[in-house]
Amino acid sequence: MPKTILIIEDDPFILNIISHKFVENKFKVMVAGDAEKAELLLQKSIPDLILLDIILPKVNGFEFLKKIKSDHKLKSIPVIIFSNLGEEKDIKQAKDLGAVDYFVKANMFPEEVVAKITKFLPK
Amino acid sequence: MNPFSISQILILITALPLGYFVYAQNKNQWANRVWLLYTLSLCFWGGFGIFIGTTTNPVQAIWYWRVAMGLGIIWMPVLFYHFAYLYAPWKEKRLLIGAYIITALLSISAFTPFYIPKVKFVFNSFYWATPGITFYILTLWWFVLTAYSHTKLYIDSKNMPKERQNQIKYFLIASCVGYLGGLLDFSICYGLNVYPWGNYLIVLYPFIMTYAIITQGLFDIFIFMKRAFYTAVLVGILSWIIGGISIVSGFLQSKFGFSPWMVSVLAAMVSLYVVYLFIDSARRADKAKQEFITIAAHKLRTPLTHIHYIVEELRQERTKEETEALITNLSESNDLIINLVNKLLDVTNLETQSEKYEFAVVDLKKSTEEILKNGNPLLKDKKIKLTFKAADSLPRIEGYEKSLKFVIQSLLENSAKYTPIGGEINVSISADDKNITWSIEDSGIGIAKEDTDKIFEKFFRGQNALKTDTEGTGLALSISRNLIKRQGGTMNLYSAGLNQGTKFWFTLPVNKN
Repeated sequence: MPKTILIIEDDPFILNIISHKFVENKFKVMVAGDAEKAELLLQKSIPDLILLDIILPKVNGFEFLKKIKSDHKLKSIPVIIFSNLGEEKDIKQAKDLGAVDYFVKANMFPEEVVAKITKFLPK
Repeated sequence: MNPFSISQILILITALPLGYFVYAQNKNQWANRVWLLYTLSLCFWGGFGIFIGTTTNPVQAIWYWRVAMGLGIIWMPVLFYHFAYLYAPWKEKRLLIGAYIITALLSISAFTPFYIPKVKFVFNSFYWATPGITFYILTLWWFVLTAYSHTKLYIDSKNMPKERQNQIKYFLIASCVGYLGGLLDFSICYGLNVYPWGNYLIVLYPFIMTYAIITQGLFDIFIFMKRAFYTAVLVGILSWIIGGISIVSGFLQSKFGFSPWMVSVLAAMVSLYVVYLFIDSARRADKAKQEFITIAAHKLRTPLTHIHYIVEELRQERTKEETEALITNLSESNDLIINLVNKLLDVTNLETQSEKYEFAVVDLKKSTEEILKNGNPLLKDKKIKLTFKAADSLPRIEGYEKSLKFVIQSLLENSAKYTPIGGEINVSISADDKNITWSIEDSGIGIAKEDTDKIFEKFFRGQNALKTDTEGTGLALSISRNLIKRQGGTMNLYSAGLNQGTKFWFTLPVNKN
């Protein structure tokens, strides 16, 4: 059964490229341009992993991560931060809030993103 | 403790933080560095003046005088001259070097009996310097150089931009007040029997300069950490109050036997706290710079990520349409990087004032017409109706034409970006006796009430702006407002809310000459 990934990303171009890459690799993909839309999607379906941007309109990625980790239904979903913020303090904050890994967009190819998340997916 | 010593404490605790604050705002600017040295020379007077005011030993008093003068007072005129030389700027380098050499010689002489051979006990309180031969030379040199640099600064200011004229006005006011105090101090050496109350006027010097920083952007410090700055100013005022209390304390000592050390400890504690506050404000300035770099890096990484991904995508087999779409995106990302780098350079140049704009009479109507005539491709693409209204004869204004064109261009671009297809943009210029007002009103996406205060902040983009399919840098409005502020004007906006359109306007003072 294909694994489901929720991608929360406000840049349509990056969202398109990354989601296509996941689809090509036999993943099921849910996409949201902001945290509010992501919340609506989470009410309907629980993904196997969340790829979360930080700079988002309205609610930022850190706040959203905090919200997920305080929700008993959602807190077990592994969250990977996918952002162009790459400061030590951002990475630390994300990990402290419960992110399992932190990817800097500009430093990775989409193919690498797909390859790297597999270790966090439930068997 | 006598009033003279208290005034010296006040000089020390008000001048030192101001000097450090100015320096901390832009450590790389030579004018700011020299200003710090200038205030340090004042602090030597303040610091050793405390000992002068309190010692009962005439031999010690002579040495305190020598240090206070030799490392402090003597250096003030040349450091102010050097500061004005950098600030104006002037080109008389040889004169500056000569002034430093004379000052250095006088400074050396201050530690010899030729400068202050003896001291006399005055006002039944402390020992005051009796002038020797080089002291007379110093007095003459001191007033000549001070008068020369201030007069030259005043004359040159007439051909300077208005913002500089205003700043120099405050220098001169502060100098008149401070130097009057200094003059009274000097006079005692020459036999005038007036208590050195003039020293309290010197304390006003940092306060006038502080006011000028807040209102005129003196030293090119456009305070962005107002809270920290105002807190520090508040503490400065509190120090004054405590100074006042210490005078009362002197009275209490003589009448009721209070201990004098209490006042000293209190003054030391306050001065330490003031220094701490200013160091803290400098640390915050560094943090703000770091945040600026972080956000700028993030902004650059976004289009770079696009390019990174597109290159990878182009390596794979694609249809012609897909390839073209990717190349279009590549080109847009490239343009965005160029645009962002240019804007970042604009911000940096603006904040360090490394770019010198030419200040001259500007025909705002003509400049606007030129920009509107060239148009913006978005206006055509989105079929936006553009109107322009301006009175036939508008009063003259002085400004930086290049920067005003940048502002008009940025505001037009901003409105065009956030106005939907078929929308309207109205540009107008009006004037009254005092100001000329340039405005642009669009029927665009509007600005949420909670965003209106932040819209001029660097890198800020409104909620609705983030939702639109446009790539703004979030820098143009911040740059524009700073440019207008530098020319003595103001920039504001009004929006009734989201999707209610937005009006931006700026005003500039009319040149009545």
